[in-house]
Amino acid sequence: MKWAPAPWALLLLLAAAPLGAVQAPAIEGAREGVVLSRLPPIFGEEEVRKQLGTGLTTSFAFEASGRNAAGSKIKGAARVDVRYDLWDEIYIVTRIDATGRAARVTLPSFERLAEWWRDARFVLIRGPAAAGLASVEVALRVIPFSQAEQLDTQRWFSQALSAEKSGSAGAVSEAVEDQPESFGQVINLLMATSIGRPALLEYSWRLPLPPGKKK
Amino acid sequence: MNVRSALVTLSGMLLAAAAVLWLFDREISGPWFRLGVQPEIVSTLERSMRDQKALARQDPEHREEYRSRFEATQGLLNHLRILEHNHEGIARRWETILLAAVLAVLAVAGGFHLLRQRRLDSRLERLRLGLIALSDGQESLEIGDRGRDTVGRIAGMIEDTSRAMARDRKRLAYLRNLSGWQETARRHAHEMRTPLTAARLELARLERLLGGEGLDEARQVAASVGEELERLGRFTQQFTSFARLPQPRAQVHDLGAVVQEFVATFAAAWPSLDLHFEPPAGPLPAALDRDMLRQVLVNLCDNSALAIRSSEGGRGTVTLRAGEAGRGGVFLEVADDGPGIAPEIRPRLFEPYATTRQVGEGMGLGLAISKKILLDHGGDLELLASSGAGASFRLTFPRKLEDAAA
Repeated sequence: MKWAPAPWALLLLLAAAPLGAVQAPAIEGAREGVVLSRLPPIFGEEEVRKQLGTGLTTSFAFEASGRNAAGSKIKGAARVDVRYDLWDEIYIVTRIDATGRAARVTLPSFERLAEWWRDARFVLIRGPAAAGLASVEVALRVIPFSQAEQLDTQRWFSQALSAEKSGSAGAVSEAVEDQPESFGQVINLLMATSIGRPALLEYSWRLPLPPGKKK
Repeated sequence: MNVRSALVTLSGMLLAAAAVLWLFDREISGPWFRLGVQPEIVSTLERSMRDQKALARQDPEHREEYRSRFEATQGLLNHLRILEHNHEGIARRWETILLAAVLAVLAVAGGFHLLRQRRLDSRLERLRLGLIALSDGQESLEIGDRGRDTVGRIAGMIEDTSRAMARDRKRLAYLRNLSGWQETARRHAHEMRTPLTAARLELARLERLLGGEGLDEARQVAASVGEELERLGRFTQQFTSFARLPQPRAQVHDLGAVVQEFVATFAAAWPSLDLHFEPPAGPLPAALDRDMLRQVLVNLCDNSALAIRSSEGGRGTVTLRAGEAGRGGVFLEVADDGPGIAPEIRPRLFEPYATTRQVGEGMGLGLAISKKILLDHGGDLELLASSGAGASFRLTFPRKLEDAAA
């Protein structure tokens, strides 16, 4: 009699697979606070590679939280924006860490970008608040475009919905023009604001803070 | 309200709305959106950007112009990619707006339907109460629903029916009352006729017995008794006439012509009266018995003549006027310019023996007989008006024989 895995077991394995597919980053305590390093190698993911090549600003948003010795919840965040300039064929990387410092670098190739990502280190939870943390929950959301691009598209979409005002949409737009101005604007607003920034990928890890290095 | 019916209607509306939404999303909004973000457009824009870059390399002088076009194209491409990324969210929002619009329309329609149903229920309740009152014999009902729809028309019919029933009840009561009077008169006449006949026979025998000369005085007494008996006989005959009033033998006549003939024939019948008739513009067909109408007109003119004779001046005019009465009838108005009818007699004007005349000037049966004749025609005789300037009566007749009372 052959052994056959139960269907639920297969489903469980498939569901658990993405969690273990990406290597977790590392954290350490430093003078400025909790520092994140050895960022997960997500540039190897096909979706991320494809997204980075579109020319849109891909945001890598890190969020961290943990409880200190007193039981208080401590939070922190950092963000890396990567935009590929299709004309100059360079990667423009902007990093903002938990201290509020911003750094901008320009990289000529995807390989250099991957190297920069691998070597990047930045503060995820600021200084004194990090004291007494035993572990940190780190979440990473890959957002396919920036807020500025979202707003720009919302504006463009709203104008496209009321394109008849430019006088180029013909009979259909003339029919739309007959609607009350306020009603049309409300519909446009409702439709335009349906454009959000859903994450392309999401990861989360619970990382123990190595003892003896806490500040 | 019928809850089951309302639920069925509401379910049907919701199903129809869901079907319309599904069809709209599947056949209209979905395809249009897919058309906007279809891969061919994206690849064409990408190719265009590559071309701009290639052109910039080959034509460096216009590099900035190519770059500007490149960036414009890239902006459009970015928008399309962001739209594609938000495809589900936009579709959900669109469906939500459609659903909200449909639900709003359904809510308004449902509210309107509910209000209309409640109003209809209230009107139907008024109809039900009206029908109960009608069955209880209440007269001249006023349901107060003036709607032009079916319910309003039914309310109008109930009101019409109650008025017709009131008229019929009044007519029936009058005829019953009159019938009692007729029976009384018949008995009186019968009781008086027998001794009268015997008295006449005895008187004749007395005259034969007193056939010798010198008995002139006895003969005069006998003659006087005979005259009184004759008078009593005529009196009895009036009772008989009233008691044995025949049914009218109606035929369709031109009312105007009949009245014109009456005026011409009876112009000199009452020395104190001038008869004046205003002929109608055209023929006025009416189902009537000419002889009985003549009898009614004679009664009315007799009354007028007596009233005018007793007033100052002693001369007056009776004006007759005919026309359409509505509801399939015609009318004839008879008005005099006498002293009018005394207020105390008006409520029982058409009852037998209702009179203000002196004893010996009539028994007060004329108007009762006239009313009975008109009712037997399927029409009526009413006092229209009475004042110090005169009295006027209105006679109504049906136009068709089938509407005339049997």
